[in-house]
Formats: sequence, C-alpha cells, structure tokens
Amino acid sequence: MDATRAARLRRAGAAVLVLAFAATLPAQGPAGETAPSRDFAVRCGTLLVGDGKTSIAGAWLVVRDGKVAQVGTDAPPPDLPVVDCSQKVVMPGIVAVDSDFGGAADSDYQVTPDALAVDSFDFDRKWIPALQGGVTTAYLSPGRERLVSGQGAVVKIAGRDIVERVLNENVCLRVNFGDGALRAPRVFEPVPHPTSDEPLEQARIQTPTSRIGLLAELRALFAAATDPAHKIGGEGPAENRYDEQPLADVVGGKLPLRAGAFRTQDIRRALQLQQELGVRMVLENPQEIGPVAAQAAAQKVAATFRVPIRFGQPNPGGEDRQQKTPEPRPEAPARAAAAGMLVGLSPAPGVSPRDWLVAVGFAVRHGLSVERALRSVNADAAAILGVDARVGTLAPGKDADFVVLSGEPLAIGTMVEATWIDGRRVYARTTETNALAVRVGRILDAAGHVFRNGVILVQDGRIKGVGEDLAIPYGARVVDVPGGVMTPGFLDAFSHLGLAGDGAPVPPGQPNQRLHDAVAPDDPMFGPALAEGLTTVLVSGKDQGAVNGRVAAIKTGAQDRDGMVLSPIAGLRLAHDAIGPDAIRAFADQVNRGKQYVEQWRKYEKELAEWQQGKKAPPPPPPAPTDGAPVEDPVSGTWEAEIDVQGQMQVKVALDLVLEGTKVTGTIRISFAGRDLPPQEITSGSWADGKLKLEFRGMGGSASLEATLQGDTLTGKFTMGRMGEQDVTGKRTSKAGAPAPAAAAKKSDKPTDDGKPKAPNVDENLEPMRAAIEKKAALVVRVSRGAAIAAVVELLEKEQIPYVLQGADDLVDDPSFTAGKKPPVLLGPDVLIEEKGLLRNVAAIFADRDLPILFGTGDCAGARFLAAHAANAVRYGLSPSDALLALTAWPARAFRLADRVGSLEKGKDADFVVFSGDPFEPTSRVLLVVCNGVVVKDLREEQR
Amino acid sequence: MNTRFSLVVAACLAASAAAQDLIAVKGGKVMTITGPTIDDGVVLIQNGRITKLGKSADVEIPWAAKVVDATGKVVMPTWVVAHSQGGQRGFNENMQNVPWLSVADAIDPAAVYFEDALRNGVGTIHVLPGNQTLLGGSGLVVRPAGRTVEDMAVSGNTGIKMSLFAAGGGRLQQIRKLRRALDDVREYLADFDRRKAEFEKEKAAGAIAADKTWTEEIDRTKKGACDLVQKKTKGWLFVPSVAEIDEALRLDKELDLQIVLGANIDDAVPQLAKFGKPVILDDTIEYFETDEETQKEKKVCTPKLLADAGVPFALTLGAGGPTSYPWWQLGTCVRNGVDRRMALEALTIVPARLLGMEAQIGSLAEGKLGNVQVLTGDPLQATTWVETVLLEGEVVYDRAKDPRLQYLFAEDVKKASDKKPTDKAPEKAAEKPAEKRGDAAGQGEPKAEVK
Repeated sequence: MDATRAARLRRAGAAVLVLAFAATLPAQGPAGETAPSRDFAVRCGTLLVGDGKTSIAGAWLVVRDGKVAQVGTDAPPPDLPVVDCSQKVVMPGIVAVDSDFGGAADSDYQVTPDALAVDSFDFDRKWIPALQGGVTTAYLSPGRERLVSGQGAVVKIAGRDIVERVLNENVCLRVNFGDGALRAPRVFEPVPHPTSDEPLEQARIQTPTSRIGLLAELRALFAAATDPAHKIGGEGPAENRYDEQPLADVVGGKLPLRAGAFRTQDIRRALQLQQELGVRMVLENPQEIGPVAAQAAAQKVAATFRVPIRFGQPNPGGEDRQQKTPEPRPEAPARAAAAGMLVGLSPAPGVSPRDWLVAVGFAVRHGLSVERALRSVNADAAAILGVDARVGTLAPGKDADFVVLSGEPLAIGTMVEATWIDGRRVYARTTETNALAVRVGRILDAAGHVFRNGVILVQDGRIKGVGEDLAIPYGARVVDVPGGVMTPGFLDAFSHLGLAGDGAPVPPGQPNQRLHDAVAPDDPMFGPALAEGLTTVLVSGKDQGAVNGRVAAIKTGAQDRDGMVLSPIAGLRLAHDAIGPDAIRAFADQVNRGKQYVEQWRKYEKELAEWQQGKKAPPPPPPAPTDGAPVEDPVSGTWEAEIDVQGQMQVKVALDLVLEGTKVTGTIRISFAGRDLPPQEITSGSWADGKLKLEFRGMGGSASLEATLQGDTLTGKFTMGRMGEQDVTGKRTSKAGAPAPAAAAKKSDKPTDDGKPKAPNVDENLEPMRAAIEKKAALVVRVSRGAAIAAVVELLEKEQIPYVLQGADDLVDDPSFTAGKKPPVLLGPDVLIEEKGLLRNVAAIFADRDLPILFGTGDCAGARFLAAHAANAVRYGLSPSDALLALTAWPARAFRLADRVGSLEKGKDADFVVFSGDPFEPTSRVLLVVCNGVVVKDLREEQR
Repeated sequence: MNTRFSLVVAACLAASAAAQDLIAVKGGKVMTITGPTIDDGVVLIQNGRITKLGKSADVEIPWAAKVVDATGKVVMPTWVVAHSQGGQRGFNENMQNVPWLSVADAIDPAAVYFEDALRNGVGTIHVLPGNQTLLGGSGLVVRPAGRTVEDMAVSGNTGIKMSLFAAGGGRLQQIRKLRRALDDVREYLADFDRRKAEFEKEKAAGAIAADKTWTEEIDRTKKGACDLVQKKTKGWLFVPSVAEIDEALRLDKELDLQIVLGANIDDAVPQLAKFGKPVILDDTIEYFETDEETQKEKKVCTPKLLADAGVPFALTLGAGGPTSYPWWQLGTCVRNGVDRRMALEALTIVPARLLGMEAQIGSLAEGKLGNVQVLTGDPLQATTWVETVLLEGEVVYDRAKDPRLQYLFAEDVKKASDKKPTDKAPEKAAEKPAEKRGDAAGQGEPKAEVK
C-alpha cells in the first residue's frame, strides 16, 4: 500500500472525525435550557490557593462566567450573589493525577498507540464518589499493562458540555517498563480463507518477553514511526494494526511519555529512554524511585504515586521472603520530593475517591511535607498533566473549580461539603448523619475535667466522646464555637416549668399526678429556658401545706414526648417539721406504707419469675394492703379502669358510682390520647348477682359497660362508638366512706386460672415512694428545724432511701444535725441571709461543708434565670466550680439521673450549653444549646 | 451482484407467481395503521398486492375470489421486526472484521423462532448478525415462511451490522478497532482508485494496449465495508449502553447509520434526540434501576422516555419469554403511558420505513403487499389469538391447522398423558380440533400461558 496516500487519507479521515466531533457535540447541554448565571462571590473562611502554602483567612473568591475573576480579601462588588462558606475551608478542585475512572481494560495487543483513554470514559455517569472526595479533574489511563497502551486524557469529572469537559485527549503516550509488558498474551489471528500460501498460523508471540528486549523493542518502535514511509504498524488483521503517528509525535516532542515503572531497574530503563529521545516523561507509580530519584530530578522527570496504603481494606503482598513481588514504599513520594522531583499523588487502587485527601494525608505520615502533599493534588498535579493553565490553583483566569471543606484538608474527619466545577455546583453533601461534633475553647465536663480546645462527639443523641482536639469522624456535622465554654445542660432542681395550663395556674402537687403526661414537649415556655441553658427541670405541682407532691424530670429541648420524659417519677416532695418525741412517726408511716407496697411488688415479681420458669404452682395470694373494715357496699365509690385498644391507644375510665338498692347512679369520665371527654351522667345502671351494667352517652352515641366486680377489682366489657367491644379491667381507688371487706380484697388477688400470678394494683399514690425505696428517685423533704432535720436524716439514712433536704435553715448554723452525713440540700433562688449587716451565703456555707447543693427556682417562667441565681451565689462567695456542680452533676446524682444527665461523659445524653465566656459572668452569652443530641438553640449569629 | 441476491429476487418473483389467485378478507374490523380503521371491511388481494380496501358494502368481492371470513375479528398488517438475530445458528462470529459474511448462511428455515414468529403474526423480519462482532456482515429481510432461505428472502443487501460492544480490551479498544478497520477500508479504496486512474492514464498515453480494460474488482472481503464507508449501504450499529452514544453520533456523520440500542439506555435519551432518525429498541423495554445518587430503585420504560423526548422508535421482539409476544410489548408501552397508535406504529410502519419498505409493508393500503393478519380480538389483548396470516396474499398460517396448538389443546392428549403418552395422540386431536378450540375460546381459558 502507498503509505503517503494512506497517511493523507488518514488525515482526511481524522479531519472528518474532528469536524464531526465539533459539529455534533457542542450542543450536548440540554437544549433550550438557559444557563444560570455563573457570576458570584464565595465568602471563604479560609482559602487555600493551591500552591500548598498560601492560605488566606476571610478571603473572597469572585467567579465570573465559570472562571476565577478575583482572589483575595477585597470585598466583591455588592451586586454579586454570595455563596457563604465563611465557616469552611475552600481549596482548588482536586486534580487526580492518576485514576481508574477511565475503566480501560488492557488490550490483548502490545502496541496500540492510537487507543484513546477518553473513548472509554463514561461521561454520563455521575461519579458521585469522586465528587464526594473533591475530585474535579482527572487523568484517564488508557490501560497499564501493555508495552504501549495508548494515549491518556484529562477530563473534568462533571459538566454539561462533553467537548468542554475534555481538557486534553492526547495528554501523553503510556508505555510500560514493568512486568505487565512482558506478559502480553499470544494472539491468534486466523486468516478468513486459509490456503497453502496463506495458512492458519499458531497464536503469535508478541515481543518482548524479557526485560532485556523491552527497551530495544521500544527503541525500534519509535525508530520505525519516524520513518516517513512507514505509517501503519503491527501485524495481523486491519483492526489490530495501529497508526504510528502518536509514536512519531513523541519523538517530535509533541506528546509526552508516561512510563509505568515500579522497580528501580525499570525506572533506570525509563530514564535511559528519556535521555535517548529527549522527551518529557512522567513516571507512573515508581515506588522504588529512591536510588535514582536524584537522577530523575536532574532529567526533569516527574512522578505520580498511588499512595500504597489501602486503609480499611486488606493489603496483600509480602508473602515471599525473597520479595519477588515488589513491595510498595509509602516513603517513596517523600524521597522523590526531597530529591527535587515534581510529585503528584492519588490513592491506591481500590481506595474510594471519596477518601482522596485522607490518602494523601498518609503520605505526610511517611515523610512528605504538608505543603508538598497539598500541591500534589493541586498545582503540581496540574503541572504534571500539563493542564496548569486551567486548573490546579485558584487565580484569576483559571477555571472556577473548587472544593468546600468542613475543616483542614488533611484532617481525618474533614468532609467535602460541596464541589464546584466551572462555576457550577456539581455536588453538595446531603447525606446528613445524626453525628454531631462541637468544638469549643473549653469544656467543663462537671466530672472533674477541663478540656481545652475541647471536642464533643455526639451520635444518636448520646455523647460518643469528649476530649481535647479529638479527630472528628467523617459525616459528622461540625459546629465550631472558637473560644466558647461548654458545660452540661443545667438542671432546675425545683421547678414548675411546663405545668401551667392554658390560662390556668400551676396545680397543687399530688403524689398520684402523672406529671409526665401533663407536660407537653412544645410548651411555649421551654424556649426561653433553653436559651439560658436549662435543659432539664425537676417539676412538681405547687406545695400546699403538708400534702405530698410528685416530682418528674422533664427535658425542655426534646423533640417528642419520649425524649422529653427523663424520669416520670424522679422524686416525692414531703414536708416534715414536727418536733418532739415520736414526731417522726407520721413521716415514718408514709415510708412504711411504701415499703409494704414495694414488698407486694417484689413478691409478685419473684413469683412471676418462678412461674415463668415453670417451677412453681400458683402462689398464695399476697396479703391485702388495707387493714380492712366490715362494710358491704360492693359498688359505691370511685373506680379507675384502663382499656388497651389493640395496643394502640390507652383509654382511661373513671367511674364515680353510688349504689341504691340494685340501681346504680353516678358519672363516668373518659380520657384518651391526652384528651379528657366531659363527664357523662350514667343514664341507666344496675347491680345484680355481682354484675354491674351501666349505660351512658359516649363518643358517637350510646355506650355501655358490663362488668363483674370482685372486691375492688372490675373486669368486663366496654363498648363505645368505633372502638367496639373492648376488655376492661380496673380497680376501686376510693370507697366514698364505705370501705370494702378485706376478705373480698384478698379474694381478688388470687392467681388466674393459668397459674400466672396477678400483678398487684398500681397505686399511683404510693408509686413515688416505691421509686424512692427502689433508689430510682429521691424524697425531697422540706424541713427547717434542727431536730426535725436530725430525725429525717436518721430515718432515711437507716432506710437507705435517697433524699434531698430543702430549706434546712437550722443546718446553716449547726452542722451537727446531719450527724456527719452529707445529704444534698436544695436551695434557692435566694441563698443570702442578711443578719445584723452581715451577708451570709447559705450555698457557700453548705458547699464548703461538702454538702452537695442543688439550685431550684420554684418558678415557672422564672426557671430560665436559674443560672443567674447561681451566679448570684458565686458573687457572694460560692466557688464557681461548686456552682456548676450545683446546676449539673449534683442534682443529677441526687435525683438518680446521673446515668443520663449532669455531666459530659461517654454514653450520657448529649445535653450541653456553650457560653461565650465563663458561665457565671453576666456578660457571657449562651451561644449554643444541644438537647438529646440536637442543636435546639444556635444563637451565635444573634445579638452580635 | 452476488449470486445469492439474484436467487433471492427470483424467489420473490416465484412467490408472487404462486399467489395469482384472488383472495378477499371480509367482514372484519380493518386496522390499516396509517389510515382510518374500517369496521366491517374487505381487503381484496390480487397477485400478492392489495387491490381494494374498503367497507364491505362498497367493495364487491369477485366471484372467483377465495374468501377468508374475518367477521367479528380484527384484520391488520403483519408485524415488522427491524432487527433480529433469531433463527440463526451462530450469529456472533469470533473474528471481528468480517463484513463479507451474510446471515443467509446462518439462517435455519426450520428454526422454531420462525414458526413462533408466524404464530405471533410477524410477517417481516430483518435478520442481522449478532451484537458482538465489530464489523459483522450483512443482513437479510425474510418472511417467516418457506423451506429454504431463498423461499424466505424478501430483500437482501440491507446493510452491514456493526457493534460497539466491548469484546476484549474494553470500550476504547473497540472504538479504536472500529476506526482502524474503517480507515483501512478507506485506504484500500483510495489505493484502488489511484491504481485504476494510473491504468487509465497509462492507457491514454499508449503504455497499455487499447484493447485492455481494467478488470480488477473490489476485493470480495472488503466489498461490504467499502459500500459502508461510501454510504452506499447502511450500517446497523449496535450501541450497548449510554457511554457509547457519543461515538455512535460521531460515526453517524461519516456513515449512513441506523442505531440499534442495548437495554439500559434511559440516560441516553437526550443525546438520541439529536440522532434525527428512529432508533431500534432492545426487546427489554421496561426495567428497574438504582439511582447512583439517591440509591432509590426506579422503573424505567424506554419507549415512554423516547416518546416524551419526541424520538421515534421501532420495537423489537425477543426470541423467547414475554417480550417475544407483540401484545406484551405493545401493552408494556401503553401501560407506561405511550400513545396506543405510536406503539402500534412502532411494530409496523416505523420498522418498515427503517427497512426502506414502507411502500410495501407496515400498513394496509391499496398497492401494498398483501401481508395481512386476522386476529380474534384487539392486538393488545393477552387473550387474542392470531387466526390467519397471509403473506403476499397467500395464507401461510391458519390457527386451525397449527399442529403445535393442536397438540397443546388436545384434551385427549391431556387425558392420555395421565396414563401414558402415545404417538397417536396428536393425530387423534387433529380429528376434531375446531370445536375444541372453539370451546376453549368460549370459556376464556388462559391461553396466554399456553402461547
């Protein structure tokens, strides 16, 4: 064939290709879609220019028409839209100096210089992992194993116009000096119609098959390509031969060489070829560069490395002691850089591009400077690929390719928040994990530590770790409050917050109040309290004489009811101030009733456990809790019953009944889902043969209740509206002056037929005492007189029931009433006693005596000023560290909540506050409040 | 011209000669596809072509005409499949550059594929080499009736099958090989022309005797590819995935291309809109895929996407399974929101146009070939049967005489199979097939399963 003609034709063909390419493809962008303005300014917290050393704090990056227009601290024109990255680090888009994005497989043929890597790139894929890693530009390899694989390309990872996305489709010619070049398969090329002149041949061996022939073969290829009479190389069928022009372009200096060479001896051969041809050369992954790095640097040969650490994955190799398989050298980039070579880095094959910067960080661990490491993915990478005129650094005229990072580029937990290519945002992190990291100047953990440059890690609402300069895991939302002071969320040990109704005052306290049902998570008064750092309140109704009141622990910043209720019964408020012989008896009786009640339950639980193991026959009935008195009215009184509607809804029914002969009259009150229906008259009621029949108006028409009464228990059927017929069980809570016979009560507690022991009736009045006896709650005893204090302390210490003294006035002057014990004392809001012109601080006095003090406000809306009360105590002499404990750890411990709140330790609820300064300084502001792991108040931008 | 194609033409003529008789399909609902639907219509076919088409009141049926009674049935053109590999033995040649091959050498007229095609009302099939050969040889348009390839052949020299399917070495090597192979042919042609010109020049100069003429012909093994690069013949390019679309559009500028798509091409729809010609779809037209970004699974129906983007398309049929049924393919289109008419055209007139045979097939009109099928009901119904197929006016399929259906529906056989199957069973069944099928139709048995 006439080679000149062929060459001309080929060029004509190529021209057709180019024209066709140009004609079809610029229209790749969606037709008819108007491109959004690519003029904007980015407000950067820190801007890294890409040269590895220049970083500008508070910089502006101005982008016009997809190109960088201005970089620096000068403010942009006011009409430009602003992208706020003021809390972030902005760096140039990562230039992947080597990648596997091309996905090119190796051909069977040794020499295919006209294969283009760009042909195998999938422009339509979204390349999410690469964009997640901040990669904006990538080198595509045409294959790595064959002697001459083809030409590499450099493309943008995302973009609309495919033509524009190709920076260079002839960036280099890839040659291989490694083992792969010696292992090319034999190729079988049968002729279509074999004859004796053109017989079927055996599979052809492709040269070279040994290292000695490799360099010679390459020399011969390049020499042949420069012969003008020789344009098509190779043997066999037309489609397996190749155009030699790229080889000629290499010799002519138009196309650089990219040489795969791992071992020192291979690198030497590559350098030899470079010297002979005098061409630009980049060594690909020369792990054993060490001995020849200086020579390579002298020849101005650059190197790209795959950082050979597959973190989080197996790293095979090294099984043979002779090391016939070459081992990667993590220190190779550092050595190459030290010798003066230009170095580009990318992760090892198999490492997700999402972790690009982390991989580069490991090169720093093995000796590379941070500056060179950063350059190796920006400026140097672009220079190695010859695309530094467009990408790699952020300077006027360059493409607006940049990455927004959550923190330092090489830190382990830094995430790419957004990736921009040509002034378009092509990736924004949306996968929000529920991990949170808050960085502050100081953390006071209320467990005895101070962490400077503290970091707290939160996951699923719990604290995952607290410490100084902790690494932040990937995926965590990072909140930076430089100079902030973090404390645990405060506890108000005595509060009414959340108990006020709509226009109604806080109700008086009762031991049987289910306070956690009464408080709503979205109580409007919670907001202001949260903004002052109050995350937990120990709420109770108003004290009313000597009536006991239940205490519940409620979170103010919860998103739902489950998160809100920290403890439904955290305490029981009692009063005891009688003195005199045996004055404690009344108090002790209450404790004893509780103990009996607890005993019933313990017995039941024991029997239940035994029954469940199938060991024991039905147990004898437990003793009746009441003393019993002989009266026979089996109906009259107040009955409380619960209906479980298919496990989805609990309906509570309260009956106030009066029995007159066989006729029953009275009212019924129904409540469900937090709603109380208005009380209804019972329209007809009867009592006969131990059966109660009631009819009344319920929801959606008439309703009825038919039940059997046995002593104080009620079992039967309840029918109302759409609920249909439901099982109902209940008990009599009051007998309206007509107590039932004890015998009947005993009978009722008999086990059911299947032998399963029956649970004792829940007595809401005694539940708080039970919780205290079981050490799940504390008794809050209002007491002031010395002898009463002494009696209470003695009794409760003996019974080992958790308790808190409130008031304890006489204790101020005479510590002997506690007999050496150190009970917690609830104080506040006023802790100052003015006596004869002398100011005494009760809080300081108790704290100095090592009594844990707890602050309470006794307020509703005023609970928000809890910290101010503590500050007041600090002003008059309370140690600030004790004041902090009095708002956090001490109340948490006293009310048995310390496993959840009160200090910042691993596993506890993530409830904390960040102040702008010392929490007790009046000038300090609350900047951030987190409750149950959720940022509920972020006040950093306000009031500035 | 190849001897084979002469044979093909001769065979076509012979086929037409055999159909001299007049035949009238009367009484059915005539769906002409390109024209209006005629209730109670008559299709009159003479010498293999439709001579009259109209309401039975308007068309007089000559007394000599053989009448196919289609009363209460649907009469429509037979289906046209624009791309198929069916009915061949070994359609993927391992040698990558074999443009001189022809499917005529691979077609097996006895293949069950053709029998099934006829049973499904397919009248025209464009058989091409497989999807895995770089330059794979030329195709043949056949009708699924006949004992030899020559009997079946309708039209030859339809073009060369090409493929971007990455066989060895991946996509870039495949693209490189294709460019290299085409460049090689261009170089050969240029060299051929140069030598011919030199010959003429020397002859004019007297260096060569005046009575000598240029006798060299284009190399037989290169002829097809030469026609391809000279745009004398079509290239039927298989595009396996969205990543190869750009290369296909590039090749379309230098060649006369017809794109044959792989299954997973939903992302390529915007690019296909630039192709400007109808595309041929894979038989898998409905599938599920996971979004790379959201990891959510979504259903994709390619005809619907193409219809929305205004890209015309031709449907194809699979070689087995549900996609081998026209009613399933059309139903899938309509179920996903494709216009019914567009779906029907995608298996009739659109593929006919792609084959350059829109004047012959693809719709019912006077002057077109008498390729007619009679269906028991609507063509999109699963319960509809193809009753009769006429190709060029000749009844080539009659359900009443379909031995396979007779065997499947013979109740005697079912009873006998409980004991012991005998060789005589099909014959027994054949004795009274009509009433049995009639019974079956009346009871609305789930025939689709049997099909």
